[in-house]
Amino acid sequence: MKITINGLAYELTEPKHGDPYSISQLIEYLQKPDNTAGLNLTDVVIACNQTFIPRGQYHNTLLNSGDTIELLSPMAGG
Amino acid sequence: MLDKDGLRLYDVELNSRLLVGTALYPSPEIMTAAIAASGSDMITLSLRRQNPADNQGHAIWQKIQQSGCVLLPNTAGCHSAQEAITLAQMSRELFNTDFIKLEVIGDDYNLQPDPFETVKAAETLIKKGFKVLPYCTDDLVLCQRLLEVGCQVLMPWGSPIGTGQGLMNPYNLNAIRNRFPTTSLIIDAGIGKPSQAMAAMEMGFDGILLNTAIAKSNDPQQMASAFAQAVKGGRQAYLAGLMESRQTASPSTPVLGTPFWHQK
Repeated sequence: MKITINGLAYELTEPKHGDPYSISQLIEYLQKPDNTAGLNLTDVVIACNQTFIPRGQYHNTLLNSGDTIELLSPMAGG
Repeated sequence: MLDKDGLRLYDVELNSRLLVGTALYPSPEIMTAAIAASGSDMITLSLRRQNPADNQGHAIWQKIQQSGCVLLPNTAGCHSAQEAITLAQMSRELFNTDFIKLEVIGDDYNLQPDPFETVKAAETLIKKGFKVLPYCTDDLVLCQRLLEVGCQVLMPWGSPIGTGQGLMNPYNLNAIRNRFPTTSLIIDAGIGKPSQAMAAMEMGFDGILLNTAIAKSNDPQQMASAFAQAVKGGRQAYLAGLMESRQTASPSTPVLGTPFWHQK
């Protein structure tokens, strides 16, 4: 399944159970050492297709192929 | 009396009238020292995509958490109300605060805020329970609209972000101050020198928000201290009441008893 994370194309291996990935499963997937793409997932917040996804909705928000994910972290600002 | 002269932002009262940003410092350690020297108890920060090649973002976040300051996340870089609303919601969850420095840029040349999208975003965010601090131009009617949708604080620019040009349009700023005498007004952006911050405080503005002038100085810690003193001095002068300026000279030393009077 092809999705975009922070502007970069990313290909997820199809889940074995056949159901679409939820945001929770995406995070689990990205936390695997081979899949993290160097991302630190400790303090992150997520938007999917420019819509904020609250933490409590990660498990029931399902991803579709072509979705655009913003995975944001604290940064300096003025 | 000045010890109790705090800056009221919605239901929060800050001790310092100087708010500082956390960007552009040479290192996280220098940023920490500068924040401490500024005496600020509210600091701005942002949310960004991670850059795995640059670990400084995480180090800065750790230092910010250790500072003990109230956090003021911004929506810098947003160009529409919808982008700003989404980013504000993300900030609230991660930083656990209702405060948001609302920035919706209308033009990339001078980073001028988009007044229409700013009002639209402010209205929605206020309804969602945010404490909105809108970065806006020095337009009186725009300020009026932002107050009408529920903003309790306004942050007109002095001049465009990062220019250090100071107070570009004192007439407009004075008009805003006089028209909204009880609203907390903070000059945000464009302040380059402590004297400019002091001038704004002398005009009766309630606070100053700046970043570049401290962070890009040769000695951010010392410059932060200079700004802290300027803001305090300006505030004290405002409270004391400035004399009215005059067109003609008027001697300060008593004329009566002037020596050598009519001796020619």
